Amino acid sequence: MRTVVFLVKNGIGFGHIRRALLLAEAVREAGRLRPVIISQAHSLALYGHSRVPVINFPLLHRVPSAITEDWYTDVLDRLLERLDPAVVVEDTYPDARYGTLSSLADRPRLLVMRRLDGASFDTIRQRGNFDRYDQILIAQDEAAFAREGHSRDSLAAVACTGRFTFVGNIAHTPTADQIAEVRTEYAPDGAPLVVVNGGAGGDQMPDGYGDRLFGACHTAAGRLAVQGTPARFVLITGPYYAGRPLPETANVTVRRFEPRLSALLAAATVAVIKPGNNALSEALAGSAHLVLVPDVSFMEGLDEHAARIADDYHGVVTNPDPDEIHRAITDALPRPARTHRTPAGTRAINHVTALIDRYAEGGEAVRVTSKHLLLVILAPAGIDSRRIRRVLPPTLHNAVLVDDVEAGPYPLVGRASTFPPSDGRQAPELLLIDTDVTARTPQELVNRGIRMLLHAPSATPAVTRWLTHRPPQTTLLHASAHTVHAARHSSGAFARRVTQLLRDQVSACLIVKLDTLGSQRQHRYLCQIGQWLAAQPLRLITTHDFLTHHSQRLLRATA
Amino acid sequence: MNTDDIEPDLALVNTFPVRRAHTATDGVAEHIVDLLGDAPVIIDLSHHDQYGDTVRMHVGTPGATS
Repeated sequence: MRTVVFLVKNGIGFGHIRRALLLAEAVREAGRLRPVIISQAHSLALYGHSRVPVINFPLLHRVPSAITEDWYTDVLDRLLERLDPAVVVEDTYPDARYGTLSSLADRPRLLVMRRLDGASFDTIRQRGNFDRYDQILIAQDEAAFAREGHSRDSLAAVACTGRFTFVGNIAHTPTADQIAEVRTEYAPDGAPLVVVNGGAGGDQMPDGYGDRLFGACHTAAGRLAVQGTPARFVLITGPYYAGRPLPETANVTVRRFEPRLSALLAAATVAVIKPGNNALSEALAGSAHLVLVPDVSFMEGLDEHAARIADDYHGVVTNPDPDEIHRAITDALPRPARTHRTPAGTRAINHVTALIDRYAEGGEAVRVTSKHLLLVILAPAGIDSRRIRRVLPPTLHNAVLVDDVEAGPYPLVGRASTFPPSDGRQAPELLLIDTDVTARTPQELVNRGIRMLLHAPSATPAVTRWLTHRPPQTTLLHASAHTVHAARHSSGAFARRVTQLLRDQVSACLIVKLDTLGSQRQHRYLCQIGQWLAAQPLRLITTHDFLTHHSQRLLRATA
Repeated sequence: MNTDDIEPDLALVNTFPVRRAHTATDGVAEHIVDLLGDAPVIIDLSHHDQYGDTVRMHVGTPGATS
């Protein structure tokens, strides 16, 4: 049985390991691949009940000497060589160390990525770090991703490169029995549960966040006890908690780790949490009122995220201050249970495991792409493009006709001079600029689903200027397209033009204008160029493939 | 504060002198692969001495806590 390796690191939280475990266990249950987790973590608490093998290294950037780091890296490399994984899955942060291991070169690689703030996503993209993955699986839905404030280039990269897939949030959903069990265990008297968690308890900054969060909640619990308000506080500090000792009291239970945290959060009446991805996901699946206490967190932008979540789920965002925490909990306790929850289920996990299977089976095409040409045919004025489509020789079957209505539910290439379509049809992905578009804004085109502009090479400065001065929210790609006039240029001239265009590049767009050509000559011309193209080491590609090809530059390192 | 031990119970099975055995990493990898049977296992290489000269390998079965 082939192996799938999960490479995961754990800094101050637990989310990366939780996701890796959920996915690895789903792979194990499917029985088609053997999952192995290779981890870099200080605490192994989360692996305490793992059903898959785990090999744990220290955080390699924190070992005492260069020679120790080299030793570990070498062991890792040789181990991976022996495991010979069919697929490698990493989590969220592309690790430069994994990028250079010879044992990982040329293997299918997937990156599972939880939410990142816009600046962090840009940083990773501009360093070219996404480019080594076959697929980046975003553990968010598309709508949530769109609200993160990503740059226009990042939005375009996700939309156009074909390298990103939205799989939805990956989190464990406890069963009703598991929820009932922890509720009975932690609050046998039926008192409302207030569950407090800050991830694994580590500090991102020297600001004593954990100490302040749990200290404030402990103080609030004491005040509620004095007031006679029934509530049972459960403080799950995480193994990396390094604050002051937290004594247990009549209404406070303290645990460093609780493997059933998802069930506990689901059983809570109030969840006081640092809104990192894992704890927040698990809390959102339950009905607890949310008291969100953001802190600095690596690449997550928790303040903005907490504000959005609080708006959506009627929670509150507050500071780790005893008075504010006490007020927030006191307000939340008497409210009816929250009914707006995230849907339970394993859809996201199933999506990821299906992709792992597909890559393991080699189902994803591995081939060197030939040179390719987007051949756009412009019908003579007054002639319906469908008429041209009917006389196209089979060798030009993949040629694109402007305003082609036969090839799909909407035209493949639109023409700026007839934009927007008068008959209410959906706009195309590609728009051929054959007139002045500057009266419109780039955003207007983006709003209609247009991803790319084709224009004459001479128009490049004007188009660039127009896009730069009125930038849309999502980058609008553009490419120059050369034109040959069938009436003036013979099929031999067409061949020379294509040869010249593809001499030192792999992809080009060529527009063929059929103006003033009689139908007999038209047919002969199309047959001649079709016959010549069929004999060349190139293929005619679709507009979508052309767009995908051109958008890859958004994933390349910029410096 | 509750001081429950939350780490899985692992046993020391080997030590590796890093500075004198840099070329022996092949054997370490082989050893790890041999330990990967059908049953779940935790192999922990994260412990070392103060200067990182000696790496310790601990091994255990998930489910047991110290």
